[in-house]
Amino acid sequence: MNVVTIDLGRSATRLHPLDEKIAREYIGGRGVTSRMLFDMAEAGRDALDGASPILFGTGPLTGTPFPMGGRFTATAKSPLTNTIFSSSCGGRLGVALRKSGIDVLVVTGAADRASYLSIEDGSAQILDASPLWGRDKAFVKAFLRGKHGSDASILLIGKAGETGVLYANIENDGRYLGRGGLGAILGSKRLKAIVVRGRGKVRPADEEQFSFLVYECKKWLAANPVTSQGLPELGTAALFNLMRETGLLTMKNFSEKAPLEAAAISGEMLTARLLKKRRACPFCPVACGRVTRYGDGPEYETLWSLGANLALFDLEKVAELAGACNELGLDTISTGVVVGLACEAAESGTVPIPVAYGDAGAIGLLIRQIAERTGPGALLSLGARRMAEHYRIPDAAQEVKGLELPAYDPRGAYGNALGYATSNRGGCHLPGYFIGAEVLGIPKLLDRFALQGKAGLLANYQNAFAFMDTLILCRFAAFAVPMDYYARIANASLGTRITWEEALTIGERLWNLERLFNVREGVEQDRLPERLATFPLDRMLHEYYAVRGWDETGIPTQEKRELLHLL
Amino acid sequence: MLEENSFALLRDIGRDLFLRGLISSHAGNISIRIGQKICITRRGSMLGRIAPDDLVDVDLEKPDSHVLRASSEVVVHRAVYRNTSALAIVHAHPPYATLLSMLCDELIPVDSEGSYLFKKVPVVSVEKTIGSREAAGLISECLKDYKIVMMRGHGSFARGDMLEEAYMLTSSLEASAFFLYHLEAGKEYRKFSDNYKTW
Repeated sequence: MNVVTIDLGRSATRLHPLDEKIAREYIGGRGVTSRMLFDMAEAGRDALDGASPILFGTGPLTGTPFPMGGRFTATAKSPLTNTIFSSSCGGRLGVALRKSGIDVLVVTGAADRASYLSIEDGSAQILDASPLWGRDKAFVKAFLRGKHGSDASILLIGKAGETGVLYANIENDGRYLGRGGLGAILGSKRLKAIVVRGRGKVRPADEEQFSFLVYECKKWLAANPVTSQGLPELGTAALFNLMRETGLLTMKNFSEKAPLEAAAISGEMLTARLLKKRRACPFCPVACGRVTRYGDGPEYETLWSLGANLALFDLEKVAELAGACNELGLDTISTGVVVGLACEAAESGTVPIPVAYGDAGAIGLLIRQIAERTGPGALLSLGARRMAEHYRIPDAAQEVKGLELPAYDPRGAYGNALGYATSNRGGCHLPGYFIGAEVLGIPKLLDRFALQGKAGLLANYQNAFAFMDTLILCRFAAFAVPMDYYARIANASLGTRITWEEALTIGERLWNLERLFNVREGVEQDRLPERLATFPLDRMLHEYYAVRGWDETGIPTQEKRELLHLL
Repeated sequence: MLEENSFALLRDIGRDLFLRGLISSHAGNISIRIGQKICITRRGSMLGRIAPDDLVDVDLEKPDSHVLRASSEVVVHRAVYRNTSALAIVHAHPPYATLLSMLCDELIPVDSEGSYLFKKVPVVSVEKTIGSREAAGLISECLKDYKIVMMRGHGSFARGDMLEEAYMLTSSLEASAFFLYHLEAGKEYRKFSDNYKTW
């Protein structure tokens, strides 16, 4: 595997091979980039210090025709949570990098002026981005396409990344590295964009077995209604009505359940009224992405965070706010939760911010102020936790480890709630995706309110999905493709012979590595916001730590570290 | 302490195994893992009518006197839980699958459901087929890469993240084995089927 390290401060580029042991023990994607970050990062260094690295990684599937295998990963220390933070994206950057002969791109240092990177067939240049800084995205994309070719993959930050909003996102070809403020990291490096073109071929190690697995996985994707009908026809918004009917969709900063009225902003309504076209990640048959006249999305999470959460049930207005977040480069989940907190505080008279639930105009203005970090937006740009700490209203911040919570009410699905609490990147449903088991019945339906046994199951899922992220297979493949396929997919791609259990051990190693990174950074212990911890979370955590082989505070024991080669 | 819904699951799966004909009256055993313990059916219990007293908690690692009452196959269950990430195990004696295990070294389904779920089911041979350490080693090794395995002439061991999953695999395997047996044995049940090709 090839690594390109670019030091923006020294204007230096270096090509070097990846340590074989890392490749063997962490495979690719989230695994390799997390291990490299763990080794490179200086404990306690500010995430927005220019010397803090950000890594863009590909996996063994990237650039091959494997369905749902065309994504890439970005990993860094998050300025929002101070945790290790891996984010995955379905833009074409990863494919272009791999075809360019690069498996991992490391960016470190800060440029002394606005810059962008151009990478073409393995050769990297640092170029002047002064004409692009502060400009709207359409201008930036047109400029870069004009200069580097219409087929180039363009990754860029918006206004929010430039100003350093702690939940600024990164866009790549209409898809997003949404959470954790990775956009602010690029902004702190004065890196506006990365443009990549690659024309090489990517071949799996065992082409015959690979073709067999492609065929079988396509069969599974076609057989499952989530991946063959729900997501293609309605996008992730397919989840909206189901979650509302299940009672998991909330309103007003998790203080109420979303009403029937929320159906006006459901996936069905989005498809009927606003959808212009679908968007697919490279080689993906599902094509869950949506495009409306307001731009990309809105996704399920956005319909909740900027819609139901803010008591806004006008679909056009929600889509418009989503479009504004995309243009400004803001994570829609964090933005919606932070604005929801502001609305709650304003409503109670605690904080004098001119915003209210359901007031799209005021919300839109506040979003712009957040991106520009002006007026009340300056404080809101620091995230819900810091805002709540400033105003001494800690109960109002619905976050875990600093990451604002997503759309599934933890009080309605206790396994998913445990997943939020124990997620290494903060309050997030994706690392364990327990909603699959507790709501969708994938692989089988669990009682949402049962406690016993869920800790072990969650740990298994976290490990399995961590391995999945080393391949960079889209999480939505987990709806359809059985987990014992992942090792076989790795073997066909890489020529390895790992068993399913060995694959889970690789996932477990990654999970524990991330935990150790967070321990080193002094990240807080696992918890839920007080408003949402309405069930015996401590009991579940106790069982979880025992299953994990950790001590009672949630730290991997010496024995566990030895077992996983993490000393 | 077993929660009510966990007990109900064990009871219902045990009953379904018996009613489906996947076990005889006192055969088979099922278990779930809870932390560092496993909850397994009692030796001599009838899976078709599990009562609370028919479930035994046994420590996963440490010597535990509760094995005195646990299923004879507890050594296999413990080995599987120690060596894999399985959270539930179903051991049954599915008739057609067991019959085929005496004829084949692996079962490769030909029906649609089986081809999606299994692709291949390995068959392992051991001399002492009930409760032996040899069986425990072989079965647990196999289940590191397969979801269900046959012990020749004895029965199936299926693993799952949930008990329902392990039961599903057992039930589906028997269905696949039924199709395989009839096809391989050439036992055509339709009258005049030889004439179809002259149509």
